[in-house]
Amino acid sequence: MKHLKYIIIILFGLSATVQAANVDSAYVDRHSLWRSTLGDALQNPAMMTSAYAQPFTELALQCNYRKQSEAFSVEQGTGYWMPELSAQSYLRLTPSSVVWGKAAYGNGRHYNKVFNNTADFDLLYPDVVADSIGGDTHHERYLFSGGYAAEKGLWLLGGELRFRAEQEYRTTDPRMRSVVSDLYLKAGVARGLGKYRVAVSAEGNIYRQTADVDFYGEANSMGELQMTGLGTSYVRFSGSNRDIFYEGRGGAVAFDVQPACDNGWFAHIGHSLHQYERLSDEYNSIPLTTLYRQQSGATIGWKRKSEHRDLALMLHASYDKRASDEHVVGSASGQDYPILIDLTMYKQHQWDAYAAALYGHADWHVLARAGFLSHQQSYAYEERRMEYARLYGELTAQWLKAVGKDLTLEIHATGGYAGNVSSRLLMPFANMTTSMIGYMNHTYRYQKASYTHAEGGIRADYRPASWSIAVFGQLATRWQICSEHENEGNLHLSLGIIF
Amino acid sequence: MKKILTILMLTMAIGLTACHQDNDEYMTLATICLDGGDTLTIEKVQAMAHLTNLNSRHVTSSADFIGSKVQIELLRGAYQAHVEGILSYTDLQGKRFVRSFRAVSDYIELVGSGTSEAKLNIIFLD
Repeated sequence: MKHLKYIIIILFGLSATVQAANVDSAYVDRHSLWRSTLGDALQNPAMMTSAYAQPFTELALQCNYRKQSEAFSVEQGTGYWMPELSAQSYLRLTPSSVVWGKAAYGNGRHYNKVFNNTADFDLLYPDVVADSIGGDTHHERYLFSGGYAAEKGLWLLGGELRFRAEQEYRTTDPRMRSVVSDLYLKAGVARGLGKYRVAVSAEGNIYRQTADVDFYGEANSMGELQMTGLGTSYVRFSGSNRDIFYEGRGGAVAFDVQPACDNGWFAHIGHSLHQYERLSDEYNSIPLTTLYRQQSGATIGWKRKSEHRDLALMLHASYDKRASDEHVVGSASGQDYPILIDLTMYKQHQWDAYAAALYGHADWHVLARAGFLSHQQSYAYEERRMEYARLYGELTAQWLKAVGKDLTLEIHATGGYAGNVSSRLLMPFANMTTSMIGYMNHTYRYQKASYTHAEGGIRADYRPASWSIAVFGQLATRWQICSEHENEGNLHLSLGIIF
Repeated sequence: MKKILTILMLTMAIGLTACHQDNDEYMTLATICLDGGDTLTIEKVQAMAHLTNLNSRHVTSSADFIGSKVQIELLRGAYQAHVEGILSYTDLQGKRFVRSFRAVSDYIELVGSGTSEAKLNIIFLD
């Protein structure tokens, strides 16, 4: 906290010394908090025709570092170190058509992951492979995306492709290796209707991951658990069955209304459905579980932008459901295992609702947000439950400032608190192993906790009039303090050029 | 262009209504029936039946036999069954016997929605 105080003092001290000048409108366009009022509308490729007023290309080298004094979620470890090289571009081909693209390569490490030997935990939990040893993992990621959008009279059309290839592996026992490929294809259409633009988009997704765990040390060999949620596992196919793969597919649809010129009502409704099947390589590709994930969200708001004053009000609600079906496998006939029935043993429901207000004056923007989050997980038999609910509030201030003619600064600071209002744990502890009791108690300890966070960051873009490119540097730090007397520190550093 | 918008709107409507149907019928009332063959009629059983779920290794036990049958409410699935105890039976001549027995199966399917039934052959231990 002391460090954070110094950083904030330095940032604001710096702000007092700078000279007044107007910030380049293209810079405001890319970095202003006001952009958050566009929300998810820019997820529709058709709306990208007017995403930025000026074309740009940015090359950056960035590093993200996180360290937790104790893992808030043991499956995701105590932190990571992830340097990444990225290039992104937004170019206008003709006055009515644009292309954009991004390529990135990251190579880093995750620290102390336990009870998770699978990549993409956020996507696949609870259906992961796990053991109680875990350890650090190496992480390598490639990202490519590109899109095209064109305007034809009142109509806007767009398409986008995104591809992610990722591998995560460990070089000591247990030697997990996961290789991921994740492809998204999206198409969108929008139409001008008076002062507004109405847009719809549809997205398809194909996902695949192979995941295996090996032990090289003869004495180290142990069984892997095919986890099924809240500390349960598919015991019949756990143990030596360490090679699995995931087949995923899904789709999403979205509907947006945005005012054409930043004044008026805006709305977003989105719905997505994905499913991830876990299959066993060693048992003739029998499906063990299928995870169904359903996400719905809606935002409605109003905004008004004038020369000196910006105002936006937003209401947002979202629902995220996970339901994991366990496939009850019958007796093998030859190499074929029949599926007798499917039982939805694990369920997770998460509701999140917040209200937000954004106010901007001259170079300043302030965003206030307050909301409620409820998270419930259950396992059907033997009954297990883990629930928590939080009330949260957050305040962000941003200052964009031109210093002389060559230097532009973006400075922001955020503070927030998420307080637990209710929690509940129900576990058949008498029938659980010691390591599972420890695992579940640890998970619950951090789920029912309250969190305070503070963030501060500065980005400086330097571009003398004689240069055709600008160089930039960005430094941001985020601290989170848990009511369980543990904390998390984050550091972001990036350097790059933009033209 | 209007056709594209209509198709996308229809896709969206289908997407909004296409949700996964949860399979929430977890339990079945399983009847385990001891079978001694055609030559004897089982009258009473005093034994403990253990059913082990093959997926979770969770064990459910009961000794509430009525005649040659025991009913247990358990999670639908594939099970190993083990019954051991004493039973009384009459043979074809109507003569009554009391003997120790065991009935074991490595794999039985108790997956019926509502009720399920499985038959176990007994062997006498004496």
